[in-house]
Amino acid sequence: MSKEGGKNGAGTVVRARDVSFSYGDVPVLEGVSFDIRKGDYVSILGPNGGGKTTLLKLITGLLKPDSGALEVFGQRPGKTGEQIGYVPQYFQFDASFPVIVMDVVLMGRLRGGAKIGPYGAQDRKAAKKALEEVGLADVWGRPFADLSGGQRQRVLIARALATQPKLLLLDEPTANVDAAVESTLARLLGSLNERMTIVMVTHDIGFVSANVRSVLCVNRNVAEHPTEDVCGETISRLYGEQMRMVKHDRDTSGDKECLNS
Amino acid sequence: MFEFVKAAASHELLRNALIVGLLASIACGVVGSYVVTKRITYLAGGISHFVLGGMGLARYLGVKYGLEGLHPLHGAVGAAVLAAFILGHVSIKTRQREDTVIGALWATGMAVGILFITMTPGYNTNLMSYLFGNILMVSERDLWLIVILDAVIVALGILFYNQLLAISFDEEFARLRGLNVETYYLILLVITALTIVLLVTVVGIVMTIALLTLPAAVAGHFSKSLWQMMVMATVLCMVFTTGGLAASYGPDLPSGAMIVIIAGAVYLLTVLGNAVLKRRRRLRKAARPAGL
Repeated sequence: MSKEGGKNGAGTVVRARDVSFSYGDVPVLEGVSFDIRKGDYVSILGPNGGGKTTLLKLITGLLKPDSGALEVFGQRPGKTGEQIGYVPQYFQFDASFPVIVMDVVLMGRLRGGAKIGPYGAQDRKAAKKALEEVGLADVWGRPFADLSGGQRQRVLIARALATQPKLLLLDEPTANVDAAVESTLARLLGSLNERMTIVMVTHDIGFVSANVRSVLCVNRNVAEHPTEDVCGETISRLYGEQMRMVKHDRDTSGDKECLNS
Repeated sequence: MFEFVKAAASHELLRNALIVGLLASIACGVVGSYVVTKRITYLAGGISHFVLGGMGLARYLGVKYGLEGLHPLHGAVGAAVLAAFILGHVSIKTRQREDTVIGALWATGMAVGILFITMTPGYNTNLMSYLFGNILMVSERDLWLIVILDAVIVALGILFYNQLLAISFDEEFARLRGLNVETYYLILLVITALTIVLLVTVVGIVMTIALLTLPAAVAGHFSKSLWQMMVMATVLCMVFTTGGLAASYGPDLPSGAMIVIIAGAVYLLTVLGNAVLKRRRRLRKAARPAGL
């Protein structure tokens, strides 16, 4: 899955060696090793409870591995927040929270330390540019809660872009959005991939095969595949019986499995 | 009403009461908006009841040992900040047991307060004014403490607006941006605790939570952003406290109760009005022919 080659060279964005994580006594990831290289467009695929979101949070540094070595940009995760843009799922937010779109995007400009008072002109410019990039410049003053699901998802992408990241992490960006929004997102992520590495958790196998260059299949363990290999046997090995159901539901509104991960 | 204005001009205590009401309203609008959006109302309730312990202790020590300078309000500040630190620590370290700890502080704080008030030599009429407030009892000296507290609360609440908004909206993302989420959460709890002390002087311990949350909850229905909510909640809180004082002064009714009843009535009307509007909008939509 490398574009530039070099085993531990400057091209490696994420390097995991034998990483394990558990919530209390429940093991979620066991002995996971993989590399993500600069410019990659990686999808993390796997069944519910398989550890996809956990893997993403380990990369952000929000969770710490129990054992193993994990490096992001050659440093311990958590030290590298400035270079990471994180896009969580949009429906975890309080629907009545009084906040306008611009203020959400500006959160991407926050820094540690004791900065007080309002955002500077530089921050507003970056936030505006990020909104333009996701095609939502005209709704900057609208309440976040008034937007559609697809728009909210794009606002959260803009918030991540406002930090000017080198690595963009997305958690289920296509969950709960319709096919039209899905293709907008695909185009957006495709163009962003020209200048940043993208790692995306998804259930959506159709979305993967259309856009993504390589796949990390996560179900306690991790297996790496180039996208062409993600078919038939790989997937049934990963999902087992579940695969039939996922595939079956894809074009219907019954894709509710995606909500619970 | 005219009588009230005339009285306010000539009576120092009534004038002080009005000033305290207006000052507390600013803190109430700013901090109440955080409390409502961050959903820590129950936690604020715990802090406000715990405050009785501090007030009782300060009064007991003040009377028993003749410490002139020690005032129940000082005890309230100490207890509120202590409760904020305990709850902040518990919520950061052991998230799942937070509500139990809140309940424990709530009740034991009151128990300690009642015990000390009963043990205090002399008249014990103070219990009622602590619980249900007596804004007309505020002295010149209290007023200065209230001004200082108000300034501290509003300064912290406004200077750290971006950070407090971020941890209320999406704590995880704020953490990823390098914010020290625990510190800001503690700041939020401390200014909540200090605001509670101010509101205790206005409406008393039992009704504090109403004045802290109702203006912000009403404002939330009409606000696009958090700072709009704060401004509107401040104005509403000023209207409620002044209106409550005016309405209670003539017939000599308890002012705290009157303030809270007005706030509660406005909140109820807002919720009902909103429900009716929503229903009407839905019906109109349904009545419209398809395709429009």
